[in-house]
Amino acid sequence: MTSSTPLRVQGLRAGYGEQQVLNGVDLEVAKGEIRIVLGSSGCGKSTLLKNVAGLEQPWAGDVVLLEKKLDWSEGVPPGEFFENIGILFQGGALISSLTVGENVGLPLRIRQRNMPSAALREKVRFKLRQVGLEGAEDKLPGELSGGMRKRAGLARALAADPELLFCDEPSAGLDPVTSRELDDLLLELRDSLRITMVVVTHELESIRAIADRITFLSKGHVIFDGILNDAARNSPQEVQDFLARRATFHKES
Amino acid sequence: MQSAPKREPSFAEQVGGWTQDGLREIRTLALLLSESLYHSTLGLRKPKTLLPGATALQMMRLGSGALPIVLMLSALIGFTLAMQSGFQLQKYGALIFLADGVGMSMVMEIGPVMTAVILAGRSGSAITAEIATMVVQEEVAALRSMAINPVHYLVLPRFWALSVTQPLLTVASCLAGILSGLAVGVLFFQLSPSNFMDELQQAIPMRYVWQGVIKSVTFAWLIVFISVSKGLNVRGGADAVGRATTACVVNCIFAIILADAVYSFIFYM
Repeated sequence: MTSSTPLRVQGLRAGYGEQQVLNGVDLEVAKGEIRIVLGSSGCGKSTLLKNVAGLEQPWAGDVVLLEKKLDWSEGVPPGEFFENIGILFQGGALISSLTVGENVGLPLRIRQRNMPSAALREKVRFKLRQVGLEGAEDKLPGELSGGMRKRAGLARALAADPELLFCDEPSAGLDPVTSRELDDLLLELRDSLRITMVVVTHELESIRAIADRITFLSKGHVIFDGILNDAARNSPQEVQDFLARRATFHKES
Repeated sequence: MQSAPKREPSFAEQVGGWTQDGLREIRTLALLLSESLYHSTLGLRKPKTLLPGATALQMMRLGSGALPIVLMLSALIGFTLAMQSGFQLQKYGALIFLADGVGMSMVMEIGPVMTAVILAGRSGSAITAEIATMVVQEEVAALRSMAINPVHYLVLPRFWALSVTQPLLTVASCLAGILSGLAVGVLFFQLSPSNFMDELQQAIPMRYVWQGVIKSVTFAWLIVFISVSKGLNVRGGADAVGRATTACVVNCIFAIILADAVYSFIFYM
């Protein structure tokens, strides 16, 4: 299913226990766009991602994904909700007891139930080739480096050809070269597959490299939504200070 | 602005808190129990989430791996039981009842309970640690993101693995204890093996064997549900995994002994 606005979020409120983290967030992401969600630590970036991706139930508000409203009436989102999305978790989140090939094949076993084993193996090899991990099918996650684990996680997120990809801190814990390679890979995938991406990060280099638009969160609110160049000039002081501090930090390091 | 110092909760508030925690735990366990029972029975027809051999792998890890320790401890307990009761029975010229004492103790009580306690410590803690680590490393969230029900994926193979292996291990434990008792009878009290076995057959009707098997299956389920529940509900980092594992073993042993008491009431009243 295609849509010009694959993701729409309206009035999203969410939190943990009695602590409210998101305080009425609105967000619209256009097709084929890479949207960066950024903000200081604890501002609710990851909470927003988890609530939008159906991993946690919001307190209030609507999440409309590919024209379908996220429904929590049965306590969990319906299985179809996850059919068109892929999630790249911060540490890759590969199932440690399965090989890389089995990890990448897992969503295919669920979503394309009648796929013959040979075709499944071929698709797994193709997805691993796409992220530069050919030949790693039989390795266990523990045998991979941090960057390779993220690539494998990305291959698994892309396995069932999702229309929307969520990435939680893809550059976290990676050296600058590996981080840059991962950014290039995301751009390449966006351009070749026309996947819409929502990326949570606060790495300025990554933001500069891949962002089409940015959404800046502060204390559970969206305080800026626009392109990066505008953020440096026409945005609240907090956003400008954040970007300036990050830029100084990057220069120094 | 300086915040007011935090007040220590009163005794009544603490009791209220504990009660609330206890009720929350029971609710979580009840929900998990119903979901687990569904996924382990009717849910078997669900899509091919599990990789081939997942249950067999768990049988090897959780069950077969425990065989040496179960055999060794049961043999030692059988030895101790036979030595202690042998000297007492000898005083009254009733040595032949050594077979009754060792056999009944092993089949009705020590075999099922000892095996369950060993598995709670060995396999229950392993299940909790594995699942809790998966939660901390977002592997469980990753399962959800692939539309895989974590209870189906994590409970089903472990449920069937322990449901099958625990009764088998219990039988092995009983045999090891009884054979050890037989060895003590023959070597230290000059009992004939055939007399010991004849007495044993008369002392233990099949009903007792089945009761032992029923107990062992119940204990297996308790271990699986408690350990999965502790693992899935972990919050925090590595220290939380350690705390969950300890809590799993303590709760499992408590639940096993409680269930054993309930069965004693049902079977022997």
